[in-house]
Amino acid sequence: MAQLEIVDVSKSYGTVEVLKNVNLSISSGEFVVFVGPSGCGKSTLLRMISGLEEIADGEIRLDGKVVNRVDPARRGVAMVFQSYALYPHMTAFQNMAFSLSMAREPKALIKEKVGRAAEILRLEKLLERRPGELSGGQKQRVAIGRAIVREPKVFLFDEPLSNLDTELRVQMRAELIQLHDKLGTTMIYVTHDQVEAMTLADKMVVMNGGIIQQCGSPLDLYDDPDNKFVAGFIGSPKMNFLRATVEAVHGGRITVADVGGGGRFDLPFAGFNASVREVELGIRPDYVEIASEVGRPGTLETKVAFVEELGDVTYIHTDTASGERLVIRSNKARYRGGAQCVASLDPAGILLFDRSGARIRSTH
Amino acid sequence: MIEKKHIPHLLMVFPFMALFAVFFLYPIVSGLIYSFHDWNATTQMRFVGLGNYERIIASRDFKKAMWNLGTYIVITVPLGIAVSFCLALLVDSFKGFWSNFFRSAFFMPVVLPMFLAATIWRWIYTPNIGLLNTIRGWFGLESVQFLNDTSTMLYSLIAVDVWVSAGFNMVIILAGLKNIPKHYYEAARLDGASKLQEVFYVTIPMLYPVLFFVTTYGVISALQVFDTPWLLTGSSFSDYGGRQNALLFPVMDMMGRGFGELKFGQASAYGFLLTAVIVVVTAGMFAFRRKGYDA
Repeated sequence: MAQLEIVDVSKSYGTVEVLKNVNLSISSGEFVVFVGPSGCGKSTLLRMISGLEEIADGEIRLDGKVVNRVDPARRGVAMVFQSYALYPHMTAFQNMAFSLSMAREPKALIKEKVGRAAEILRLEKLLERRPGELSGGQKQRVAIGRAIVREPKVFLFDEPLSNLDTELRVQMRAELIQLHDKLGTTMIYVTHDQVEAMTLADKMVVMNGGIIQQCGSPLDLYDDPDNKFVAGFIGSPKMNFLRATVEAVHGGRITVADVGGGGRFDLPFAGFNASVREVELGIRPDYVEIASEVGRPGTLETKVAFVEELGDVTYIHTDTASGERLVIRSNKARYRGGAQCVASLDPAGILLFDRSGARIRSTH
Repeated sequence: MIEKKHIPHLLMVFPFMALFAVFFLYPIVSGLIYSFHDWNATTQMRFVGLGNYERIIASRDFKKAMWNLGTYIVITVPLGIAVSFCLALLVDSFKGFWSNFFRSAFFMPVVLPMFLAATIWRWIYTPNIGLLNTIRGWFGLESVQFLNDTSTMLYSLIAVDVWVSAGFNMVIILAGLKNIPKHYYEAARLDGASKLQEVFYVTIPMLYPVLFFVTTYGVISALQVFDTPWLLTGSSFSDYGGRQNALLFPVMDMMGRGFGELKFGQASAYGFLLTAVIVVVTAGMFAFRRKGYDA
């Protein structure tokens, strides 16, 4: 187990700045997930931690020791690659034993360590097989086994489940959680899949444009995002955003108008800066319901664009009068495209963002 | 009976079939017939059965040619591939301009006409005033008759052929190197492999299909070696093989018997013997090839 600190780390490829002053502290034994869209710099940051990518600016400290110039093999990190990176000419055993063979460890010790890792990952019967004779899930387990035998301080996972089918991915997610519980080692995991991130992480680090947008526990990020990017990135379907004009600020409440092209809402909000006139309302589909009455306060008239019926839940994708998309979660309603629909927004679920996308928090 | 609907199909393959029959099948069949006859192109053919084959196998020149060929293959093929592999690694380690420069420079001998390459090397090997002997002279070493001393002739030829073929093999190996995914090297780095260990444990095994092709192609080419030793040793069908036949090879022996001595029956039989050797060697290589694998 090890504590990892990333201090003012930056990285550029030519004129393109991939990471900008990244600061992050990861505690011993934490399962941290870097999540963000393609090109946000999450894999680059992981590769910098592994030593495969040079650190141009800043420091990476492992257990207090700066490792910027330490060889990747000596950093005490092990990495599981997206493509598994298993040598096709070697058996599963040889793949798992490779690092130990390079270190010229005694054969008995290699056998013991590989055997122990194989037992943890239930690979005992597959050790003599070559990667070509293994399924995707088995290959991934061998790749994890190769990391385990090195007994690293930090495990690094670079989108390790993205090549697996949905069912196997769910199964492997559960296995990774169990593995983390069993080993108790610090794990850093990169993914662009926010569901994967939510289910695995103790701490989630949301990145965009080479900047850490927010980090914290998955539910904190879901319920209390710092900005519009995090709010929109986490959660499926994503949060609804509706432009609005602040009409009045009075006694711990504000009134916003022109919501979705005509709606008017009175929201509890303390400490609102009265000079701000333009805001954006964010609300998750869970807080939007179908209303029966037209014109009631806190409702919007919308037109159904399409409906996603998932069995346990139905998502009704509607368009407001202003053309903004509003997704409503429902488990009863049956709607068809083109139908008129009245949506009721629960004020408790409404978040406010300024025009730059930063969250405006109530001082309640 | 040919169905009417197949006539257009047959008409479409006819041009190829006709050319194939005239320029491929006919020479093979007529060559096979000649190989059982004594014929000098001017007299009537005389059937001799397997006489031509027996005469070739019993001849001293054939044994010398086969011995030379064996030695040549055993040295040239592995040495040629080792040199090409090292050059490919070198070129691969460069980027941009220098990569293109070295690739072009090393490929130059491949595009050079063989007679020009042989002329260059004859000058390099020239006694006293040749490049190699001039350099030897700077160090006070005696001039060596590279192409006239039976102890150096074969090795001199090998050097030329390695020089000529290295660029071609390098390009093929380089293409193979470019196809090895980077993550294997990254995994090896994380596992503590040195650069040399990366070459032995990642590069060479991952290049196995390419190296197998290069080796097979190299062996087949080497079995047919003719032009380089012929150009280095007088370029004549009446006088070839160099001093004491030190550079006599089967194809050269075959050509000499045919176009030098006008023994076309023997030359044809020689051709079929060589074909049999090439087929057996190639089939043997494929039979012992390691089974393929995928990631």
